Amino acid sequence: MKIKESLLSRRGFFTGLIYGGFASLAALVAYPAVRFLFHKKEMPLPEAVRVGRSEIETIPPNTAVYFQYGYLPCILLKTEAGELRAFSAKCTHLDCNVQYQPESKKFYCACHDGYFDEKGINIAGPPPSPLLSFTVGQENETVLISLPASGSGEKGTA
Amino acid sequence: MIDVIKALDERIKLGWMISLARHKLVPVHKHSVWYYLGALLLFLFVIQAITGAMLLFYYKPAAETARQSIAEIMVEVPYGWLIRSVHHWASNLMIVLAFVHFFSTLLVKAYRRPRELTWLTGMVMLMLVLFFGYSGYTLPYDERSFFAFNVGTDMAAAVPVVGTYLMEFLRGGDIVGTNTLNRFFAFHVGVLPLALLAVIVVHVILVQLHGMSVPISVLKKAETEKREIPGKPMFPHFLWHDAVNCLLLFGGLVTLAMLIPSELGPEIDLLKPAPEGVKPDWFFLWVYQILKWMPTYVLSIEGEIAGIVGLIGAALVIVFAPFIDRRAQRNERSPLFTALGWLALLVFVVCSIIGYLS
Repeated sequence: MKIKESLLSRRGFFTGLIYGGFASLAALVAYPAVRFLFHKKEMPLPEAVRVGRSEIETIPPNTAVYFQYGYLPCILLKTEAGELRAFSAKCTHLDCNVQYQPESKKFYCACHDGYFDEKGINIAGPPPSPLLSFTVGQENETVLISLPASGSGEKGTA
Repeated sequence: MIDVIKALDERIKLGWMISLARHKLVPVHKHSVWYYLGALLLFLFVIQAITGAMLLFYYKPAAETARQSIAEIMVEVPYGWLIRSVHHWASNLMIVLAFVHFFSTLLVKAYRRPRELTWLTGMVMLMLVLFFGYSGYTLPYDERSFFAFNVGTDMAAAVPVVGTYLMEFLRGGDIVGTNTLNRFFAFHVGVLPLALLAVIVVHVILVQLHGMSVPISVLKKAETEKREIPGKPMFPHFLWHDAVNCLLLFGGLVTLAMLIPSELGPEIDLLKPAPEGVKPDWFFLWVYQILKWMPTYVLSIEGEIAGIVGLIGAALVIVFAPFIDRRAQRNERSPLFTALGWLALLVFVVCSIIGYLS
């Protein structure tokens, strides 16, 4: 039944009420469930990683070694000239770990044939951006590896 | 929506299912209320599967991590306390309703021909649900879990002949430890859900095949009055009732979970005595109480072993009731089994209460 001035019939009103009720119930169930499932544990990265000078001296020139920066796998390169460069080892394409190839002086990602040069710049293959690079500084007898003020390259992981 | 149903009907012929449901009549009489329990149990099973899978996202089943991971679920994960408490309360309600379903079926003797197989699958499910409950509350690996593990697996050793092997199988070694936890985790999330689901499918198909059982008293009364027992269509009438029941149950479940969230006991300390008044979960209190009453020796058999053998014997009489209760099989009144049914219910309730209060 619908009286003239009314926007909807009584049946329409109650149908809406029932469907609305079910929709609210569904939302009430879904909200905690979604919040529960999408919980993310925060894993902050350390401000800096320190390595003893003597340890650095054991690395021959034109060689790279892996190290961990918090949860991030990283790679430390000692160039032919003895300069130290630190990068995230994660390829910017799909997060595989890259390796250093001394003969070509390039970082290579075996997953999809991606290449980065000695400075971590993407030069061939699918990687869309350079490797995330770290600042390498000195503090007394230790080498200090730290995140640059504004992260470069890496997609929001740091 | 209508188009989707039409399109599906064209491809997979939904029609027969709907017409089957429409033609299926549910008998209406004074004991009809017991017909509602199956749907409620099925609903709780679905809730357990969903909340259980959710808890698996964060639960870490190892002796060193289990309790801590549950503490994180309760404190850090948003609404973790709610999901775990719903899982906890749904399991308790499932056991309550499974027992109600069991006793009502026993007392109206719904196990009569041709439903013997339905009864047997039901008994298997009752045992699976109890094992579900037990394995579930060992998983937090707190103090309570530890003593539950010890007592429960030790009791398995009392089973004649294979007892020791059974205990070692359950423990994954001589003593309760991380191996035991892993085994019970595997039971709880792998073996039991698959087993229960398989038996549920058989049970539900059998119920559809036979229709609902009508109690002997109702049959006799209709016979003497020379009238048919009225029926209500399964679809949509009865399903609608089921839906409302499930909604009410869900409301009660969430309320319980909000007001009385599940607890987490202290960490296990191997060098600490069992806490005062440590008891099994409520659904095993009757067993606990009966075993407590057993004397040290019964006819030169160790009291506990005698008690467990006695309980297994009583359980077997109930499991095989359809094959022993000849009178009910002929659709005649069978006062002996009615009395036994009430006695079983009485023992269950009274021993549980005494066990709880003592």
